[in-house]
This record gives sequence, structure tokens and C-alpha cells, in this order.
Amino acid sequence: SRMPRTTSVEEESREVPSVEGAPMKLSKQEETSLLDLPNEMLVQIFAHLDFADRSRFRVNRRLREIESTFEERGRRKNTLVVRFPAVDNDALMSVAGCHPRRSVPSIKELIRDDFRFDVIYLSISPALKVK
Amino acid sequence: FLFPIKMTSPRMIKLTSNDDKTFEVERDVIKQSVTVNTLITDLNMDDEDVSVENQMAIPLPNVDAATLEMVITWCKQHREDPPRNEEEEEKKEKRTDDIPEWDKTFLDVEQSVLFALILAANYMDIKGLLDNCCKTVANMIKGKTPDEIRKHFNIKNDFTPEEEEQIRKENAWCED
Repeated sequence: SRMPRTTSVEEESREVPSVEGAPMKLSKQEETSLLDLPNEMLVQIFAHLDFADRSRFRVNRRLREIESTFEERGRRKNTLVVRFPAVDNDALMSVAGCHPRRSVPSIKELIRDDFRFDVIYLSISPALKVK
Repeated sequence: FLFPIKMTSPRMIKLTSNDDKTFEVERDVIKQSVTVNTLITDLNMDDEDVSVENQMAIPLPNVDAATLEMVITWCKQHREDPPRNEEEEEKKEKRTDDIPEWDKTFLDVEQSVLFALILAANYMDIKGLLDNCCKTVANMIKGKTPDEIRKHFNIKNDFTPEEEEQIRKENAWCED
């Protein structure tokens, strides 16, 4: 059995079935929002997003800071993604796909030299793994 | 010859929420909570001589009754799940399309309820519940634009115009 949806913020109480099955009234539950979650929980949510969704989820300063911690993790996992203005992700995937045996640093060099980017960030993305 | 057969009922554990509601739950069900499990062990509550009536209730000061009830329901549903190997889980590719159907329906609740469940699962250290809650939130984020995300979760944009422009430039590659 699942709990019924609450209907509004103004709702005074909600009725849920008790463990034994008989409904009981519960006091108004404090409204918990996404930003009430501690950073470690937000990190876990971020971890389930790919790079594009993680980038778009940087909707305030706190979330931007949390997202920035993923770059180091990406390096440890040997997974390459390049983030830069006006980058065509398909083109970058092609670069990695064409050079599957290259190491991460050498692909980074290749992209830096061939595409003349000033900054290259490495991060986690299941779509773009370099062997 | 007739021998008396001792009928053993499941061992029950009492849990009290922060709004003073007490729940009795089977020991076998609540073992999925590492926090509760540790308390039971540390307090020698597995001692067979103690009846549930005389047993001390375990206080859960960070969990309200409505949320605790949902946690117990989830634990009942997943009581037969094999123990999680966290090392293996860490190595697995992060996916959000593998939430069991029962959990998808169970977690189809208001945001505040879902976030309260995340906090409770974290506090009670129930990895499976926490994982499926986080995946559910991730699925709400996927494919949305920043503005849609702000609206969906009621998040205030606290960037300066310069910071926002920087983010917009950085995101240009993943915008439609």
C-alpha cells in the first residue's frame, strides 16, 4: 500500500493508512524541499545524471559548487567529457570513438590541439568512456 | 506421545517517531536499516528473554510518523531482497531506469514527501531506499532546462547576471 499524495501546502493534515490498515490522522508534515537536503544527498542525485543534465542542474550557486566536485571524480574514473562554450557533443564523442586506444591525457591533447580549446574539463559521463 | 510444539512468533521491535508515534515492526523487516540494526545489537535487544511489551522503543528523532510508516512499508516490501554489496554497487554504471515498478508507484508522491523519505533513508541508513529515491529525483531533473528545473523544484536563481551569462555559455553545447 502506498501513501496518498498530499494536496497542498495549506493542507492541515493528511490521512494515511496505519501499519495495521486503519487510517489515522497525522499532524501536518513539515514541507521539505530539494535544497533542504544536505550536500551529500545532492551529490548522490547528481551522480545519477549524465554530464548534460548535470550541467543544466547548476541552477543556483550551491548546486554549481556541488557539480564542480565531479571533475576530480571523472579523472579518477578515466572518463572523458569536454565542457566548453559552443562545443558540439557529437563531434567530441566522435573524437573519443575514433581513438579508442588513446589514453585520456593524449585525447585531451588531441582535442586541445585540433580544436584549439583553452580549457578542457574532465568529468563523468557514461556516454563517453575512453579505454 | 504428544510433544508440545513451541510456536515462535516473529521478534518485534518498537520504533518511535519524532512526533511520538510508536510502531511495532518485525526484527527481520527493519534489519535493512543499518542505524536501527546497530542500535538493536548495541542495546542487546536481540535477547530472547525480553518481550515486546517490556522492550524499550528505539527513538528516531529525525523521522516523523508519516515518513517512518512509509519507510516500514518499503522495508516490508523489500524484506526478501539480497544484501547489497556496496563495493559492487559503487562499480556499477549509474542508471535511473532500473527502479522496480513497485518502487516507482510507491515513490510517486509529493516532492516534500519524497525529500523527507530521502532524509529518513539517509538517517536510518537504508541504502536501497535512498538509492531509489535519489534515482526518482534524478528522473525529475533529466531533460529539463535550467528554468524548468527551477520552476519544478521552486529554486531561486541567486546568480549575478555575470554568473548566469557564464553558466549559459558553458551550457550552450547541451542546449537545444
